[in-house]
Amino acid sequence: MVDDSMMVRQMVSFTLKEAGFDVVEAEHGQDAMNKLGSNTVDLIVTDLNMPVMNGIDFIAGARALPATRYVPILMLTTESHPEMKQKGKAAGATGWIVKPFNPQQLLAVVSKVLH
Amino acid sequence: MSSLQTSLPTHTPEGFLPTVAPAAALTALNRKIDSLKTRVAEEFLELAAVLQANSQHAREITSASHRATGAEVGEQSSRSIAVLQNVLTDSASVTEMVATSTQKMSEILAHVTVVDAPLARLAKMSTLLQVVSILCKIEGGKITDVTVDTSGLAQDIDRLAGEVTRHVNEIVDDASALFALLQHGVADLNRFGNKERAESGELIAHTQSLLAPALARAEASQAAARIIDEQYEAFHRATDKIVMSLQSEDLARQRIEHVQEALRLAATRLDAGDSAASCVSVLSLQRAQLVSTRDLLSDSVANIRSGLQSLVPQIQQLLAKTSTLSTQTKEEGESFAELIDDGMKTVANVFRQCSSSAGGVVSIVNQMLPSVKKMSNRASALEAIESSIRMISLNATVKTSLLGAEGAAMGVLASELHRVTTERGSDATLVLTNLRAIHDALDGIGQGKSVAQESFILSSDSATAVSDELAGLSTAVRSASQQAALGLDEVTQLAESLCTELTRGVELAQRAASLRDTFDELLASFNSAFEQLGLSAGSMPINQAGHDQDGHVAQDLSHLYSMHSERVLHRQTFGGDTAAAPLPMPADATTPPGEFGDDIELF
Repeated sequence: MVDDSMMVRQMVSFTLKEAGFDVVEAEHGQDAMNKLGSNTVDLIVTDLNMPVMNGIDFIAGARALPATRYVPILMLTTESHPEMKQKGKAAGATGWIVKPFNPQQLLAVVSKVLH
Repeated sequence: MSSLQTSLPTHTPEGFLPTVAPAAALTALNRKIDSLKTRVAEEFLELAAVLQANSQHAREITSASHRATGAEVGEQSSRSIAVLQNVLTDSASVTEMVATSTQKMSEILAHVTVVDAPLARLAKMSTLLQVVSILCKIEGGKITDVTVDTSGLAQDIDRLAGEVTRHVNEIVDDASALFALLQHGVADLNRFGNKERAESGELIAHTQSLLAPALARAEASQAAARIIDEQYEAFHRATDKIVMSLQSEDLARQRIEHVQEALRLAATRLDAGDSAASCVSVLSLQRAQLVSTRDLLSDSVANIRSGLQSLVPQIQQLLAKTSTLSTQTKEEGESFAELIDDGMKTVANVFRQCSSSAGGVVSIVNQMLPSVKKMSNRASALEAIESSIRMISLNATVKTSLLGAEGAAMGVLASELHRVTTERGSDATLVLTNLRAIHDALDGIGQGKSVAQESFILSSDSATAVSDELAGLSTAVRSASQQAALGLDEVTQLAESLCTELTRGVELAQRAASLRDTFDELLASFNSAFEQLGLSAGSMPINQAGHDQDGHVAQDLSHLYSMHSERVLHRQTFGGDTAAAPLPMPADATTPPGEFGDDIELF
């Protein structure tokens, strides 16, 4: 779970943990890239606008790693502009969720992309 | 509603001279916004912590409720029920197996009885063949036609007589032994079979008397677990709304940061010597953004407060359900455990008897089977006899026809041989048919044997296993019954504690509602900054949009401008980025509604 907002990280982690997932949190793209080195993940949820490394660059970086080349990546962001979505898709995002997220919907999407 | 929500300073500051540098006013405003941002984050994070702690508490209550209502006995109960059902199925299978074995052995006995007479006739055939052989030798000596050799015919008949004697004697011996064995065996089988059938019936009845209440209790336990889980699910659904409301802090933070970014850019422009009037539209927008952010957070705090309040009845309902269910568990559990204890002894005893009888049947069948198999295998020898007789008869007929008139006597012998062949051939066929029937009956017993090998009842430790399993169920039920009152106390304490926490959460939310006042103070500072910049409400384009006193336009603006469009507007205003194409409004920017709604798109 990559987001510079502690609140969003907490809420996504809360939702996913309640559903039985283990969650690793990162504050921005670079932090997430560092953590990917020591964690195996089945899914990545990332924000778009973050300091140090934004979501698009992070997705491109994650897609370059063999371990996360095919891992589903969901963008969770306040942005909903088609141009930004297109950038996310081009970078390798699997899906786009506009904040604020509905916990049940998030879980439904997570379930769908994981299966 | 406070007039600060939307009202901007309306006086025209003719002759107004700012007492501070214009940029400094915006910088000071930004510092106040910093404090506001921090306060919003602190309040919301505290509410988030309350939510997470409450959720953890609700999980503990759910676990304690399961323990209090005995729902956790489920696994033991399912296993015990499976064992009892296994006993039922096995009893039926073994009874069927015993019945089949008994029936097949009776059939074999009948077949052995049937072959008695034809075997006796086949035994006489040997003597008859010897006579024919002697006559054949005598008549053969009288024949002058040297081209036809009849000596080989007599030798064949002699050899055949020997074979018939040997095989028939073996079959007769086997049949006699088998007949005696079967007579006793079938009698034993009938006796054990009847005993086993009666005991098996008793076992089924006793097992069912335990199984029925066990199933009913398991069903009640599952229903209790379902009710508890439904209550927890309802609690969880209620928290979803709070989770969504809490996220407004992130949206507010981003908006506030954009406002700060805009104020910094405006301060830079003012420092560079630009007029305050050139910043008026952007500053107006920032103020409107602060108003809409204030309203957004106020709504969210109100939602969180009502959400937390709504969780209290959910917990109280869970407590009420647990109370009812655990009382039932306590009251019914002890009597059920006693029923199991009593029934367990009976079932185990009957099971042992039934197991012993079924084992006796299998033992008798096992003793008889080798003899039956041996008898069955004689079929090939009989087939050989039958075929030899036919060959010799054919040979004699051929030789007779070759001899013509001289072979008249041999013709009589050939006819006699043919008659013997035909008569004994049908005897051999009859014996053969019965041996095959014995073989088929053996197959039926063989299937029964495979049932016996897989039978739970016939395994040596099965009675102990049934006893242990039921003892385990009894212990678990008794423990659940004893834990019910204790568990209910635990649930009650946890629920009371959670209700207290929820009340504290509601209080926190009430405190967070004062964020609105802090926003209003900030908006007052914003107004002061406007005054210091020598601006008036009349010079602000936003006012020309016609917003009313309740600030509806300000709220609309927050929806009208996405984060991206706000930034582009800032760049266009302050950075001269006129090349940036105007962005479409969100209504045009939305993606087609998908499986998960407008806000979610999977690529």
